[in-house]
Amino acid sequence: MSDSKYFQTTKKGEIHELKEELLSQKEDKKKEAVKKVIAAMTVGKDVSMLFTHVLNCMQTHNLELKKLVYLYVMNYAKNHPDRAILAVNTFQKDASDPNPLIRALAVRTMGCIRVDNITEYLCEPLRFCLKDQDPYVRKTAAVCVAKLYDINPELVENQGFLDILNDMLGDSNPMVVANAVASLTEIDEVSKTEVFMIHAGNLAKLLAALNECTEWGQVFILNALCKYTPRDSREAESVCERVAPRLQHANSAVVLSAVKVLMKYLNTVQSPDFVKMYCKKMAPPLVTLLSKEPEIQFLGLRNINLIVQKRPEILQYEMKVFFCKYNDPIYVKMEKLEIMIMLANEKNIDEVLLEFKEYATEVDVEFVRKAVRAIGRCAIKIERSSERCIQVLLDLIQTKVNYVVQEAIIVIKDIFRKYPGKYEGIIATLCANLESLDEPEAKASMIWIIGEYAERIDNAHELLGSFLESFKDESSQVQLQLLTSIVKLFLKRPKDAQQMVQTVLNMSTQESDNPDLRDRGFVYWRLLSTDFEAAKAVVLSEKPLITDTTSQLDDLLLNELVSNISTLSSVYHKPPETFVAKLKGLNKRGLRVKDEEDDEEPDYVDDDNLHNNHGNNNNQHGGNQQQHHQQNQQQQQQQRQGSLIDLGLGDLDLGSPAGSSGGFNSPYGSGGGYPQQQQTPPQQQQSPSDLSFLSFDGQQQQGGGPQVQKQILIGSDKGQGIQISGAFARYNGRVSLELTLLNLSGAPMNKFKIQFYQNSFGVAPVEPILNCPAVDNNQSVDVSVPITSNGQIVQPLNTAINMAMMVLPSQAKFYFQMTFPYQVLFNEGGQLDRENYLSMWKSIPDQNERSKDIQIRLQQFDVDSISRRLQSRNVFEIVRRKAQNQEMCCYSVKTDNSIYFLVQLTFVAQSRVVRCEYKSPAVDFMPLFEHTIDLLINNQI
Amino acid sequence: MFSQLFILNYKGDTIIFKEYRHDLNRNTPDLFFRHLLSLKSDVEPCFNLEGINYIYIKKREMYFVFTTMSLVSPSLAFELLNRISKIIQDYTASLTEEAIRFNFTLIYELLDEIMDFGHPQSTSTETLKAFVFTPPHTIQLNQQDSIIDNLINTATKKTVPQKTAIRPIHQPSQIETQADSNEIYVDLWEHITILLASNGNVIRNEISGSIVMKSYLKGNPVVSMGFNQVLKIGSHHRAAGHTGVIVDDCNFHECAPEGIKDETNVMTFKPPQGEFTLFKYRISQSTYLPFMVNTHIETPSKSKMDIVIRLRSNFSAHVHSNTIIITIPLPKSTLSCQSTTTSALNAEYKGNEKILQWTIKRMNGSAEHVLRASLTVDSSSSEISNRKETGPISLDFDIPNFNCSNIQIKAMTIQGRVPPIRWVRYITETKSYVCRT
Repeated sequence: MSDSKYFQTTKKGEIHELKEELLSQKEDKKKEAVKKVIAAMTVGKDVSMLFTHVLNCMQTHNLELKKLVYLYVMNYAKNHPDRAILAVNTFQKDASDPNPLIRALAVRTMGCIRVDNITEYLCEPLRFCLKDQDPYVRKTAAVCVAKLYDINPELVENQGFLDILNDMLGDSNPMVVANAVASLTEIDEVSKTEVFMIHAGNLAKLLAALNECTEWGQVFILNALCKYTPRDSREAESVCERVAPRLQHANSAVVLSAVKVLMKYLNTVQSPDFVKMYCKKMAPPLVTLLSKEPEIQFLGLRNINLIVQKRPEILQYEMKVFFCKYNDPIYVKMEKLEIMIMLANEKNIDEVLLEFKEYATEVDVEFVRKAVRAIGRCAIKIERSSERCIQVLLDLIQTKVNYVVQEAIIVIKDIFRKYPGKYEGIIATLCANLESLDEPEAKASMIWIIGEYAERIDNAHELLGSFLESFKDESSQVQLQLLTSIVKLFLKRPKDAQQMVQTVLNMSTQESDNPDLRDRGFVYWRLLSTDFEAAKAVVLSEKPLITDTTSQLDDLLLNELVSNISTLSSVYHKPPETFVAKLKGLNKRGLRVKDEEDDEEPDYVDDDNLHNNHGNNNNQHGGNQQQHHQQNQQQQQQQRQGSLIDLGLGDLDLGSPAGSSGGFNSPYGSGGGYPQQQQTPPQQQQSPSDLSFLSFDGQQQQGGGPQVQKQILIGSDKGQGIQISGAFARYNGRVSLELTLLNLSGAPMNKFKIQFYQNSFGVAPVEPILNCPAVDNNQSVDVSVPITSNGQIVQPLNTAINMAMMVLPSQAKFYFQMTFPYQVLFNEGGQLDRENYLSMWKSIPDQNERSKDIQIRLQQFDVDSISRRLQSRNVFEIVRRKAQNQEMCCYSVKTDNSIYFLVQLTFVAQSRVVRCEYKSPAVDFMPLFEHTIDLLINNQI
Repeated sequence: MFSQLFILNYKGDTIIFKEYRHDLNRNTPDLFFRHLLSLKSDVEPCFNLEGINYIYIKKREMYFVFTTMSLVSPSLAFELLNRISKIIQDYTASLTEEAIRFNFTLIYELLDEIMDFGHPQSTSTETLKAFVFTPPHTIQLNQQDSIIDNLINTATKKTVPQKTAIRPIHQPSQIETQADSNEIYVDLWEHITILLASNGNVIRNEISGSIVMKSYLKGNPVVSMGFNQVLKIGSHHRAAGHTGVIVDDCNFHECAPEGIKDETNVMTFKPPQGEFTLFKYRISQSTYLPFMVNTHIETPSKSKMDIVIRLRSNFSAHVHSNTIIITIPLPKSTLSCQSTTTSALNAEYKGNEKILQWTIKRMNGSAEHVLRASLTVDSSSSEISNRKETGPISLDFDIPNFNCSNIQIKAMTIQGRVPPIRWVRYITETKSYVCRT
């Protein structure tokens, strides 16, 4: 207490003293006092009580003192708006002072005073200063417009300042142009309308100013050039020619911005020679970035990473400059490694491997690990080098350095996957290092290897057995892998593993809290207990080959990042709106690309390709027994594995499971840990055998536009306050998912991700990350998610699509299911002419023909109206024939994934039954198609 | 653009805090410093915390930090931070916490002119002079160590700038500066990066050179600088069998937009006051090695290991190298190390880091030194891994009055009545001279 009291008295004394000095008549004394005040301000002391006193010193002709006072006012005006008004008069007076320095100072400072009621006083002086004869004043005023816009956008728009700014692009002083560009760019970023358009007219002005302005101005102008899309190749070439000299600039920001412009404009250039020449020009400046400060090197490398992915030819011969120096900071080393892997090819691989091998003996553990991984990735990337890579890895294993060995085993597992049957000879060496493994990933990899090659490893059962002893203490990654490997071993060598497999299944299903493990246990258990051979086919099936995609960004994201070269976005490798809050949302820029940071939602991302592949295997070779089981598991599994879910449409036997065939106790029989066994899960009621699952709610689509009636997918009670409703729609040849999000959660949301699990239609959102305009509490927003149908198609057919959605920033996740209306895939280009129709009809074998009598449930109908309705849904009439009392129409339908359906409808007069005969190469989809036609005829969708 | 700029000392105290946009809280320096402390290894130079981007450089144990909410160009930020630190140094004569604290009003004034609303405005000392009125407060150079190494931003330098070169460029009060201030300092620096394979093959041999000037010229006279060699730019000249110096890439300061004229080898420019880098070049395939290093490792028994390192200087005997530090990482299983050398000082064995450090105070050209070290290693360790863990040997040195590329300034003429005093130096130094074993 006494301390603080003491402190206060001193402070009071000090303040008092300052007040006295500020009132002094001598300017020198005043100056000293103001300096003291500012000193106090800097260290965080509150000197706002001196506001009026300091303000009084403003009326002076001493520039130094004036600047000090302005500095103070800027800092405190926000907290004392009422007093700041007192300064307005002086500001206005100063803004018309004969000295340009004072004019500029006044405008600059007024703009910094973020007090609403000062802004109106600012407008007039600002208008004069924007047209001032002194360029220093003009350039200061140009920035001031952006300041004012930040406080009061309407005012700026109403006062016509934006037009003045646009006019300033033609100013004679390059500095003024640069600031006008900077201001406009900034305003454009936050404004709802396009305020900064580059067109042929001002493009020339900008290019002219580019050569003369300061390096910082050059950066602004170059960035602005990226907003413009050249009209033709010639224009693009001429801009490239003007920009290229900037590559020689000493300032790395100018260089990177110039690279960004070139990368963009070269897309439009048609002449390959020109492109080649400019690619060559970009290489040396990029390499030069690596001889600058480590910070700049880091930025350079992050950008080079993108450039190499986009245009690998630029740096293809520059491998050596990416070799790590021993004193590089770790973040630089890591980036260099990444780029070395990207640039590695058959020619330079020997050199690169030597480097990696050196790095693997360095001190920094993190770096060493990455180097070992890099060797493995090269092996996968370059087939010819795999032999040498394996040799290097074996050398490294000999060092017995714990983390090197573990890392090597992880990559060797990947190499096995890539080149099956080639390097199994080294397994013995790997097994010799079993005891040094203590990290989950390495353990899991080793266990996978043992399981995969169980027939070659004599003591595989002993090895796995030793892992099994500590099963309960292992991480889930290891547990899952151990389970799978023991099952594999059992399938290969039943005698050796019978006891073990029983133990591991028991432990997984009954003693584990991990739903993934439990589910996988159940899957295997059912599989093994039903049909040993089928289990073999599933578990031991051939695995799809892997490729090295660790560092590959997908094209959309890459293009977006390339267009953001030199910005923070290119350093984080994230699209701007994922970390910049105030960018324009959906309104202007449209939908955004996927976020690469998959680890944000581990729930529905398969980050472990090992396990994922097992899922796929099951899926591809799935016999009936398996589906049967998985149908039961659907509810639990759907949150995890897309591939396991979509197997719903098989012949279902929901009765008790088949008896034990391998001497196992069925987990069901024991009444053990499978809670869903008795109650039929809701999905199962969509039993596919009677196609009743196809009964849509009849409200999915009406009219031609995307105005669709949406069904509620997630109620606000389940969705943590967010209600989601949606429906699929086709409009103008595009399929989309129309969603309405109603936010009742109380917190604003501004973004969401959506993911479709693999489904029978191969549909998926074009871009999984979506921006929606920020939705405040109690507001709703409509979002249209474009859908593509190029995804992987999963058999057998199931119309339900499982989806997962995550809402940001709350990160709430939802899972839901939607029935997919088949007709939205009917393509506008499905009309065949008569000959083609006939020849196609003939070419499709007769066993692909189906027929059905469709009951017309409409009150009134005629053939014309039905035909029109079908036509509006892209079921095209080819020909119509009338004969006696019946009318026959032929139709063709093509889906987005190019499946044709040819249909003949025969209407009989006075009958409510239409005979529908149809053919298609895709038998699987025929029942669905038939059902869809029925609904279309009856106008139920 | 940038919201705030702050300068912190190594303890995290705020020295300078400038808000440009008033859109962030004032607690950002704390958040920044806490994040820095929370990470042990090198922190990436720009990061995002709770939506705020921090971009920083560290200089003289001080952190120069920008914060921003918008999508800025971080390279611009780094260049600008570097420039700001240079300007502060030019104006206050030294870049130290003390100097900054003494001159904070000057620095605020400068910062106001350098940036407006977070947009960089003008950073040339010449332009700034017109708008800045606060006189600098020079502090006495009490201990040379604290201020010395300010010619090139990187840390420990052994070749130091002349003391006279340390003074503020700018005296706004109309006192006529003394006659002796009509001076210009030119340093031609070459940083070399050399990597040798264990068989002596050169893997990398690169020179990154720069001409750094510090000008106190009166008026703004035109300077022309002539070089001894024809500089050819672009690696394609190498294939063409061109003689002379082939530079892979180079760039020039704003004041010399035309670069070097081909036919005359002359560069003409108007230097701004203060320190700036006139010319930077990069040579990726140099053929010259200033030092030859031979390493020989023998393992007479399981618990013994002998290392012989022979160092020969490959430059003229008229030139000498300043302190050379040779670092030899030894196997982890090393128990003890005895060494003898032909140089004045014996090598020092650092048991904790398992490093043998051999320091040569001064070495003339065309000389040779040998180090013999015999190690006792844990006999249970494997010979192969012991050999692997030895090395790579790295050298750290600088050689004054010498450069590897042989680019030399032949002539420097400065217009004006009184010929100013010109100081020209050459320095070769390395940050990465590594020989693998």
